[in-house]
Amino acid sequence: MSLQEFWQSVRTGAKLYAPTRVVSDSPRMNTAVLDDILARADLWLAPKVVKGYDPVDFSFLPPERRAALTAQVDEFRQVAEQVDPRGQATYEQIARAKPLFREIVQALEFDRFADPEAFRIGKQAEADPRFPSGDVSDVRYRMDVNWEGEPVVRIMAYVPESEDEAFLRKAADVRERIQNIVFEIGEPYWPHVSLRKSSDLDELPEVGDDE
Amino acid sequence: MKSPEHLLELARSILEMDRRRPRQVSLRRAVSTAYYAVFHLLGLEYTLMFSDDPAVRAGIFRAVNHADVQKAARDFSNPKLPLPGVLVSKGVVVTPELLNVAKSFIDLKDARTSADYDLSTTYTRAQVAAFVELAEQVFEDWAVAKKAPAARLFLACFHLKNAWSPDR
Repeated sequence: MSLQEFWQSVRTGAKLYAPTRVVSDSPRMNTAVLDDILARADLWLAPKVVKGYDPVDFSFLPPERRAALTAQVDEFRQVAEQVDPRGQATYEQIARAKPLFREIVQALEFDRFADPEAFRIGKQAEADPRFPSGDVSDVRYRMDVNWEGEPVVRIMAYVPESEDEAFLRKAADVRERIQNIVFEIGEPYWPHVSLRKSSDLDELPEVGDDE
Repeated sequence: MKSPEHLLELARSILEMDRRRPRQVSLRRAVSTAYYAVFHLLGLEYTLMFSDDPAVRAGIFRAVNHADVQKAARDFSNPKLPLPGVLVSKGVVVTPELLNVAKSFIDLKDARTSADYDLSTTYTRAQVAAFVELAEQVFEDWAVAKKAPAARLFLACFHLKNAWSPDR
């Protein structure tokens, strides 16, 4: 469960890292000062934020990508271990750790992969030369169980095509190509592929919007 | 018995409603109807193995179960599973069209269940159009697939699968 642990650790750290803007309706509260305090908050700068990392868990990544991630995690951990546990991180420590942590978070692509297993399957699929990379603008993955309780991977592919006929032709091809790859690498998960137009991202209604 | 074709036409018609800003409920109905078109297609083909009398077929159709069709479809989608493995060893060929029918059935059934019961999912018209298109493709593929012997075995598995065991 090391990949799971690392995934969760970084995800939690990313939430602590996200800059927060202070809004107050109290005239006596200096929000600029509070902003500055939060900007210096270093809760994310701790070894536990990269806890569970083991390069072996990322064997599905290309070697150079895995090596880069390992180096970033190692250096981040090194900086985090130097932070005085009774005090605050120095500006230098924060300045050194920030880009590393940003790189780590970006590598995991939380916006596209809902969980570590989805990350593993998605990354493997996308590394396959048969993957229709040129025909999709975005692909998102999520592990789930279907209504019969069987494991599935839900894949949402966005096709940059606005004309209906062309979209449908492309959609059928993209579905088949992604499914064929995931059938090979993703057992026992059944790949359910949904297709949307890229422009749908802007038009997607909220739940209950038209009720 | 034209209910499969009529259901497919209905799915397409629902999709054409409110083209500019379709309601979620319409999109959900279109997905569900597309699935039912495919279920009726395969279910009624199954009944043809026993009778061509519409009244008898309607009676047999009542015994066709969604989950049983799904199990057969899953087996025929994966040549590594034991039942198709046995058939393959006897020289039965699962044609590409039958494979598509089986895979698409599973996708459409899952989509239909989400469309009918998972209100946290929202749909776009293009997304639903792709599902209706998938159902239309099943009709085309089935027209080819049913000419090969494996198609009858696939239909037979709607009920035989539950009784079958590799040890028998």
